[in-house]
Amino acid sequence: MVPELRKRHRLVWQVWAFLLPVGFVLAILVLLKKGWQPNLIENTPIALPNLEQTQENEWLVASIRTQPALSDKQLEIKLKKPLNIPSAQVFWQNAFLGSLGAKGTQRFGLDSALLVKQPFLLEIRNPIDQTVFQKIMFKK
Amino acid sequence: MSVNYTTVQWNRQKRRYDWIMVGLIGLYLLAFAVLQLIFYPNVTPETLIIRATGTLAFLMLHVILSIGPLTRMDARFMPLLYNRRHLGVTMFLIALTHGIFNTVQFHALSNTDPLLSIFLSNTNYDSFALFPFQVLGFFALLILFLMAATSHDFWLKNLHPKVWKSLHIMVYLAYALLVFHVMLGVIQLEQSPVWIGATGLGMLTIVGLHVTAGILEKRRLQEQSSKNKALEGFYEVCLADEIPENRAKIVFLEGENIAIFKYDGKVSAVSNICRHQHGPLGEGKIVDGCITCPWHGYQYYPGNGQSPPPFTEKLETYDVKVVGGKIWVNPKAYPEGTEREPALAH
Repeated sequence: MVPELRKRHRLVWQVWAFLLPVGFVLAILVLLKKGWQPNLIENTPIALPNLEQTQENEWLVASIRTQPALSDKQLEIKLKKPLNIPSAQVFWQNAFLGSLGAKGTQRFGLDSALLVKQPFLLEIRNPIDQTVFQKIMFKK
Repeated sequence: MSVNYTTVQWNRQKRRYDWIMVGLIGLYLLAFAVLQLIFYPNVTPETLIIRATGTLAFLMLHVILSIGPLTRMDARFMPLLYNRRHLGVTMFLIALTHGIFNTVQFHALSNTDPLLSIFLSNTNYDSFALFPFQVLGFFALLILFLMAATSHDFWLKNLHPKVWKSLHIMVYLAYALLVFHVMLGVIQLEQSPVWIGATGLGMLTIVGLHVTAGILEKRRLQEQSSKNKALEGFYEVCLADEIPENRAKIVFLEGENIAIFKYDGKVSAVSNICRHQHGPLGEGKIVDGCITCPWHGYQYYPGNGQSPPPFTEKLETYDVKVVGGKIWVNPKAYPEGTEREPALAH
């Protein structure tokens, strides 16, 4: 490496040594501000036994499942076909539950705090362009 | 070094490294697929491919970027440097697979052109948290494509060293783009602490290695120039025994970058800068009687700095002498290709 090139390499990394960690920390701060959801794509693996209510449209079947002696419930989403949006996130009463995959069944836990006020609003949002892709209302 | 261009210039050593590379890639993909199926049983094959290729390409880029500073700190990493080009092209192909699958899965279903969709589906260009991270990945992939395409011997020969190096130093920009591509992707879609931790660790390792190698090198050069004293134009540089057979010591004297080679009981000094792409000849070794550049295998005779026929590249040469086991060099360069009598090592 000629000295001039060596100097250029050194300079680039001196700048990067400052910029990259700053950007990294900023990203983490944004994440903390946004609310940490470490299990975005984890599913509740086992279905609760009782089916309380079901709503269906051309894309999916959404159900609320329950279990006797348990105040918490479960939201089950069965995709009938792949969604035509790049990425899909599930919001229940405006609370973020997780992301949907391309196909199959996914379940999300609904703790009692999310079941206080009816009717329940389920939204599938596209995080890429911040639009609501599907809106489903659960009424008693 | 070859008279004709070949698609891929393999030799026994490169073949061996390529097999090791392919084996490790296969192992990574297998382990990744198994872990994904355990932790995310509903994962689709397309998503699995996107995740596996994305993480693998990013990991490979870390390995590639580590090789330079590691080699400068310890010559035992040199074999990795010889094989870096194949590693880089393979990494680009894996990154391209990631890009293609992402474009098809996330941008091919709407009415918009898939490539346009990458830029238009998310227009939050004024927000850090919501910034369209795919765009960063797109530009990084573009840089990696330019690098992979121009890594062939044809371009090495026909692009001016300054142009070629300027193009290839853009890998650092690609790396920065990819760090933010991953971080913003993690914020917007995954938020897994595992990915955040791995990205942070990788970034600190790469930055740390480059900064440390730069500091050590600068310190070494400063010590060297303050230690050496001129005597009748000659500078004492080291003991002849310090240089291993068929290897070199690099010195900077009066602004000259000189490689002093020891071979067959003799010592010769030539310019350390390869005429091809400015590779560090002193980090290479003597193969079949010729100094061989560690970057692309260009060769020169140590006694006169000339490339063996039919090649025409030539290096500046320097006077060298050995007194009492110590090597002395005169940093006044002779014109390229000038024959200089080697000094006897003992």
